Amino acid sequence: MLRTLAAVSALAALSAAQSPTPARPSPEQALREKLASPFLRHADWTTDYDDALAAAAREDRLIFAYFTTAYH
Amino acid sequence: MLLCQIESELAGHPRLREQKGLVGLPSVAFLDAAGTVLVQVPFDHRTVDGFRASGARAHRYVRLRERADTDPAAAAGFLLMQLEERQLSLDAARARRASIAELDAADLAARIAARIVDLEVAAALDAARTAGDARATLGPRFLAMHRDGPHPSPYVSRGFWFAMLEWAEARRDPAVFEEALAGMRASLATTDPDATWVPRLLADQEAKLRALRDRDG
Repeated sequence: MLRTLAAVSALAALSAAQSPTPARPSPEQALREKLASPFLRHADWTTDYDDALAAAAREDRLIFAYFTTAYH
Repeated sequence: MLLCQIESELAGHPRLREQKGLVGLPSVAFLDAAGTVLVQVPFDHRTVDGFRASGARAHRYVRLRERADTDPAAAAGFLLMQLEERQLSLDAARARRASIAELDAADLAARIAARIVDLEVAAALDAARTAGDARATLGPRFLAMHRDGPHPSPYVSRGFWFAMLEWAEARRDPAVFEEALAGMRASLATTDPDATWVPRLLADQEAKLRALRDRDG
């Protein structure tokens, strides 16, 4: 019994000593954070592929495309 | 037109980068209004000047493509750009080259030929991956090409050099090893002049060369 209690105490102490692991953002949160990125606010980017194609055709321009991810 | 394509199951076209054949993450590329990838911006060119240069290159790509059907020089220039952008298979590249009449510009013809040799080397390396001991035959084959042609471009797969190095090491032949190492060094000086991994790679191979010489002499 004592041995069990000691083991439980040791595990509890070990748990307390470990730093908490930061929670992984949900896909929704990760996407929101990416959309709020400073580089997206500082230029006239679109995140809609179909809109980009339509605008490039309408304005006879090329598309400068940055492919990134919302998963961290 | 600036497009930021965010890869996410929650956004539209979640596999767009993959569909475009873009491998790196993040990837940066110039596309036309049909969504065709014209020019990719490599990792080590992602500076303001690098983006401007790639943009100018994308516009040149479009101009050459527009004239390629009627102007043999433009067709050749367009073929070279597509080869440089790794947009053609070996068969497609050979067919396109065959469809272009003799080129007056010897330098352009040579650069196209070298890029097609790059594709032939890549195909040989791919075939050797699935064919047991075939890699052992690549060393002497590539050495003959290195010495007598047809010569690949500096952008050939590094497997071209490694096949020769491995073969020379297996035969305990420091002279051939040194010859292949000199070729790889010259190639890397063009393709990756500022890469931090290059000195380490060359130092490892130079250590192998010293070991071969020590064993030899």
